[in-house]
Amino acid sequence: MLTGGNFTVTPISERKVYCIEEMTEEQKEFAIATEDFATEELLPHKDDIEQFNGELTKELIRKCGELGLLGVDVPEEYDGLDLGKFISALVVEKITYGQSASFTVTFSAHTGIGTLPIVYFGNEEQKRRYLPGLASGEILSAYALTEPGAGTDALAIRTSAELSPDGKYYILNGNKQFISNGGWADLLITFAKIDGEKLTCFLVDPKAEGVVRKEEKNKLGLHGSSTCNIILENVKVPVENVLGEVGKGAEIAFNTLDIGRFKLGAAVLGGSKNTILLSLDYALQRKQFGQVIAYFDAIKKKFAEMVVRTYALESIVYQTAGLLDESIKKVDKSASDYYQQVAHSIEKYAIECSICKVYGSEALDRSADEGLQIFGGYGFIEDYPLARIMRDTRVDRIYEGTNEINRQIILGYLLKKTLLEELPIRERIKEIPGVLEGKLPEFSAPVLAEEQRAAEIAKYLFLYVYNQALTEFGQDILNRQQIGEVLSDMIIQLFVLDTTLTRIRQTIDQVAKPKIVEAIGKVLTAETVQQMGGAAELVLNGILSGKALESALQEVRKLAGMMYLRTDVFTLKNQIADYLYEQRKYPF
Amino acid sequence: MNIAVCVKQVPDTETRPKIDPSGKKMSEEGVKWILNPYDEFAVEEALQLVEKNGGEVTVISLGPAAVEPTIRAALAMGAQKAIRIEAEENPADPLVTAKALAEVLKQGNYDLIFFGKQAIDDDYAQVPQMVATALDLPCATVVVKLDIEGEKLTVEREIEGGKEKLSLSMPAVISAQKGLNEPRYRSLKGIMKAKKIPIETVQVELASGQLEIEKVKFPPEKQPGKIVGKGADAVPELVRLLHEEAKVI
Ligand SMILES: Cc1cc2nc3c(=O)[nH]c(=O)nc-3n(C[C@H](O)[C@H](O)[C@H](O)COP(=O)(O)OP(=O)(O)OC[C@H]3O[C@@H](n4cnc5c(N)ncnc54)[C@H](O)[C@@H]3O)c2cc1C
Repeated sequence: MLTGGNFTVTPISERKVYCIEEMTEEQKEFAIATEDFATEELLPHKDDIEQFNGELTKELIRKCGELGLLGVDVPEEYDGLDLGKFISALVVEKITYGQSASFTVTFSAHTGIGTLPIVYFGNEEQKRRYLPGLASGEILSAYALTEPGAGTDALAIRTSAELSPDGKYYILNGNKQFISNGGWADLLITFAKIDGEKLTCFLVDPKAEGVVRKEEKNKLGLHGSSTCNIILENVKVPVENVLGEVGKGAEIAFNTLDIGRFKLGAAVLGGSKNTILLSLDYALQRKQFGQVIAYFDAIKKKFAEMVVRTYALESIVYQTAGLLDESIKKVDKSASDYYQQVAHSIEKYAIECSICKVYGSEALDRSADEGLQIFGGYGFIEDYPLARIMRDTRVDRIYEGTNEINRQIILGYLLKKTLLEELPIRERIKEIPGVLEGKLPEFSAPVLAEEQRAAEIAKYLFLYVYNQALTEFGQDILNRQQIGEVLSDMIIQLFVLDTTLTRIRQTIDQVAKPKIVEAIGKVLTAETVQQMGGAAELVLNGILSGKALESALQEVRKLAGMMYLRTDVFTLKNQIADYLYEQRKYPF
Repeated sequence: MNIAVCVKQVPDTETRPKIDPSGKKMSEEGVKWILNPYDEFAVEEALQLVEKNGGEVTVISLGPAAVEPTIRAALAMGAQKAIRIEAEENPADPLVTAKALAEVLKQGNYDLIFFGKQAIDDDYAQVPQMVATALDLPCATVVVKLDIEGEKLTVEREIEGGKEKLSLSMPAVISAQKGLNEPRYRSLKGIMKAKKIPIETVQVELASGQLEIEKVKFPPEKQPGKIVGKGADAVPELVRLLHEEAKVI
């Protein structure tokens, strides 16, 4: 059952995850080398970058290129390192230790959406022409899909491409909106429709006649990154610059976004760790009522929750990275359509990629908000670091697909996998009556047995509600967006629980402070299952009515009752915070 | 040129030190280990010389297998060879380390032997000089500039209040100070290359140490300051406290 979404059905006791504790020595060295670069070369420049300094940013991008940080996803024959997704996630996460979200965006847009389309869909000549320069940072890249009339609805783009009478080039006309790196880029990967319908991807030289870069947008955050509109006015693009096939642009656009989403998860993971670090520095020196504020119980709670959230995010990001690598590795390297097959093997895990994006951006958002609160009035003042973090992260919930559309993607893919029976969802649904009678396999795990049992019941709880929704609405569930979002949230919660608990079970013998890691698992599970139980009850009211509703509610309450834990989260949060204070930074 | 660089694994500068239950050393629990920062200048200088003049850089470290990540860090910067001298732990007595290193260095026929000016953990700043003595070689410490012309070596070293310029004949022992160069970062490619280089382990009979650490302790915690009063009236009380409590006058 090697496909995305299988966490909804595979028993937690049988799962195994990829995680940072099990990195090889070499992987650890990659992480350290990137972290050293970020803290020594980027961090000192973070305020200069923020002044919108294209020269400096491009110079730093080239330095990244020298170290190989831009070539992680580029094949070796084109001067890349081809190290896979696990390393590319590590690299993005560590780049954020430079504490400049602006630079991270420039970096990610370049290495992700700005490079991957050529890696996966370019022909030999295109790869030779562009990839070495992209890997070294000589060429800075931008990806221009969005238009004024086509944001979330990307397929509605109106930019047109018309073949010239001599058949040598296409003539592009259109307006591209909010393009990251737009003001600085040496290459545009853009999309246009031929004959008003065939969505096609083009490689455009921004210096070509007719390409007009408009003024920089005045943004809420990311002031050190370039975002502008690009007008295409009768731009002649040679036919050799069509990327992939004519009419196959959608495939390129969407597959690239899957990776972008998962990598955004890695970036906000780094951002979450920065937030903890900076808030903690402050909380440990600020005194009120004669006491360091970090030691107030209410502040400890905030820090403990930041740690729990960040640990969970770290779990899902590296699990997803490992899954992607595993999936890509299976593709036959000698196949003529190798890279297209790679793209499809990525799509298998679209659910996980979207979850990294949604859970991650909301986790950082929450941590930044609580971090700012810890600074009190100073948090609201720009001389202190949290205001910027808060402004910068706001867009994480908007780009790479808004969190709304990503929630629909999560549910949509699960629905597809259910209907095509890629996942044995129906079989598992049939087990629910047994579970309601208490027939759940015994759980004997050396650590967090109760929690794993609860996570297992949570899967049945979700399947119960999901089944009710499917029975009632069929595929129309996708149009019932409010209900769909509740279901999506439950899917997200299952992935987070399942992955985090499995990581803890797998690594408990290797970690420095097993008690604390266990506490994280306990707090996460106790709070998550409680939320899921509540959401399940509420959503049933929107699906059923009358007698059917009453009996469903009874069953859901029964499942929830079996799932709820008797965990004193307050004491545990105290312990987590104390450990954090001892370590002075996110400690795992 | 045939250059050796002796390197040491030390706790990260950001480590918050704790004392081991034995009371005789720093606790190693949860410590992040790094290549001694001064050794980075040494590795960088060696690499630059070899890039200019051709030759080979060999990294040498003494310690258990656990120091290999540090050796790899130096290899990832670009060194070509590595030797680890087997030892259960880093000797407390720098002379023991120096003798073992000299034993191995003797066999290598090196034109130059680089060190960092000191290790940031025990801060002895003794090993380079001791190695030079053992090998009967000229030695320049705390070097901030280095030039080679033929067989002649000119260096600048930092001294109290100024700089001293020396010329030495090769082979020689050099200990590097901050400012000598700007050490390069390890590249991902460098890390991959380093992984393929075998680290040779050699056994050397370690001399018995003549120096033993009896105890380590933290400096006394700073007491909060005290404001005795204001103006001339406060002076007698201040003098009394300085005399009776602080016992400094
Ligand atoms: C700083 C920044 C950098 C960017 N960089 C790039 C880039 O490099 N390249 C690029 O191509 N684009 C880029 N974008 C554009 C970005 O991807 C879009 O802004 C985003 O996809 C949303 O599109 P929109 O702004 O048109 O919003 P809309 O699509 O108009 O959405 C408005 C609201 O409606 C909701 N909504 C829309 N459709 C649905 C639906 N079907 N169901 C429910 N709710 C819906 C959305 O979730 C949102 O809340 C960038 C944007 C910003 C702000």
